[in-house]
Amino acid sequence: MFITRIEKPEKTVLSFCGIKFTRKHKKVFMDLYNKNRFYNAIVKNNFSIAERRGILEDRFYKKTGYFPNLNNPQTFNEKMTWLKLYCHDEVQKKCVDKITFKDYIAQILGKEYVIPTIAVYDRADDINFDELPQKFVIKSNCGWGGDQVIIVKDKTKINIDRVRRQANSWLVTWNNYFYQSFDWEYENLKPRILVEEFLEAIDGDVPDYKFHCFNGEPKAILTIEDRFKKGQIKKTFLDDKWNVLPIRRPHSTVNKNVKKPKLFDEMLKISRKLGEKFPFVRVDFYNTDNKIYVGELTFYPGGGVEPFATKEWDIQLGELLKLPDVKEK
Amino acid sequence: MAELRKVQLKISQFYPKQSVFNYINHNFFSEENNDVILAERFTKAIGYYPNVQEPKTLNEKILWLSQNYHNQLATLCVDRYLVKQYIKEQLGEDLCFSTIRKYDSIYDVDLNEYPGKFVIKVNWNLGKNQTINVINKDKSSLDLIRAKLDNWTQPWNNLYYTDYNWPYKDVKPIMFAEEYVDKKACNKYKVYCFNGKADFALLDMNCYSLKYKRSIYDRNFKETDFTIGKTSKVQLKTKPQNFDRVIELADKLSKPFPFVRVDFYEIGGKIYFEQFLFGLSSSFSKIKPLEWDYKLGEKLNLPEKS
Repeated sequence: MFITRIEKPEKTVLSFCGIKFTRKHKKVFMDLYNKNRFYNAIVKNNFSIAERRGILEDRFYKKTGYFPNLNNPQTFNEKMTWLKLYCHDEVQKKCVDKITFKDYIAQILGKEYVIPTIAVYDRADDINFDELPQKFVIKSNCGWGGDQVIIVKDKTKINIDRVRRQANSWLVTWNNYFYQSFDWEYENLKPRILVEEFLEAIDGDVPDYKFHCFNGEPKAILTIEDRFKKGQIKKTFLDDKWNVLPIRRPHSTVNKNVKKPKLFDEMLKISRKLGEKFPFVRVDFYNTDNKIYVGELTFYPGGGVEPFATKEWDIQLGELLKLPDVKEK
Repeated sequence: MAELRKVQLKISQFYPKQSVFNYINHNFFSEENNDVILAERFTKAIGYYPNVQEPKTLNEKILWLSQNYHNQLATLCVDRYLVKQYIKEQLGEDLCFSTIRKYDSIYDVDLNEYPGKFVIKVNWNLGKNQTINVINKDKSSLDLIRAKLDNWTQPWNNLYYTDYNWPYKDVKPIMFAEEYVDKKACNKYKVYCFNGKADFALLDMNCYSLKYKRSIYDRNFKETDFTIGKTSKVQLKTKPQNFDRVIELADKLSKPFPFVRVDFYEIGGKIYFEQFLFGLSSSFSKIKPLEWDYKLGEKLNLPEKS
């Protein structure tokens, strides 16, 4: 009721009750404030597709250094952003929530491919630490990457109040990536707390395998090694016959002698099975010597704005993906 | 540079605060996030995570009351302009500082209207916040006073938005002028009342001096074993003259409420009423040792949800 949004070609400024909000106010909202997510959440109902597109284009330019052409998308990142705006499939909603995602995988592949859930809670003071085993992992159902995860290796040594406080802060409405990068699946997703089993084999510096499925075919595979060593992170792109591709992400190096995992063929099979339903999906695996776990399904890697070292590779990866025909909404 | 810093400090009070954040949350997200924000604030200030569904400690119970106990009388008591009439009716004597006049808008404020010193206040303030002492009329700037008053009467400066303390919710802002009383040698009595009866009192002797100390006694003037807040504790040599009278007054005033804190001034041997405090924004402080937080919590009986 008090809000007026002033749109400029490059910036969106929010003024509220005569107060202009800028980044300087970050300190004021320290505890529960997450970047511009809070401001975007205030005007949450007002985002039409056209508005989302304007804000995403702005964000795209800031992160990757070139302005996207969404009328005729060519590069990988442009195509990701295009999919995010115009191609909506209801099944993706189920895959994004980490609680319902497990049911989905169990339905298609079987229960042995997901990490077992111990409990699900709506509020932080519902967490019953007496019931839980000695080791476990606490997550929110809508976190990304390594964000919003607490690993408990010994229950007796933790400060319960601190754990509760941290888990509590995940439950605010605007702690939702919809308001940051407009991933439409997250809209109206209710944040909840999830407790999982802790698996020794996955803990620590185990390499990650991320299979990028273009129109159902896993044509590019990304491995990530040494992610906890500062400045030594290795990101290697490979094709489906385990040949190293000369693609590089900034701030990382390429490891040309990556070991092929033992269960590589099975991973390919699984990613084909999961990928055939979507135009693009990235399947993340946790891999131990004799077992595979599906970690998560990602539809827009890096939010569709993660840059490559040169634009050429952005274009070459983009050529692999054929976009579906969608009527403009 | 030093002067620039001063100007920046002056401006900084017009910037948004925690209450603005809460105001936005209240108006745009209904009540879905309130529990999260309150639990965050509580843990930060007191050091443990509150269990609001089954409150046991005093602080948890006060938090529960601030959310679930809705009494219209509390709204009247929190309003520092209207409460003066209520005190007069209850006690039959005038214990408050007398009001000079009420301002309808900020342009009514005139420094030369009244000879001598006076104080300008907003009715939803707490303690000495949101007050201006007009002492030296030549030095005080009318524009700054107006700007401050305009800011203080904005809806998000309602104390309701600091921690969703219910009594403040429907308070409407009133600006008024009050007589000035020199508080240099002033003692404060803060009486905690449980179930309509005074239980213990904090005595802050010379509370406006820089290094004041606090002593805590129960209603029979017996020293207690716990401390409240950061102020260090000290034992008094003699019983203050007005102690029994203050307990008696607090008994009378606290009768309708399950929990309330009543504050009194003692200036030159005379007792003045200061304010009623309900809920967190008032008595939100650490009780040491923790077991006393539980013992005090046992004394307080919670009413049914209303």
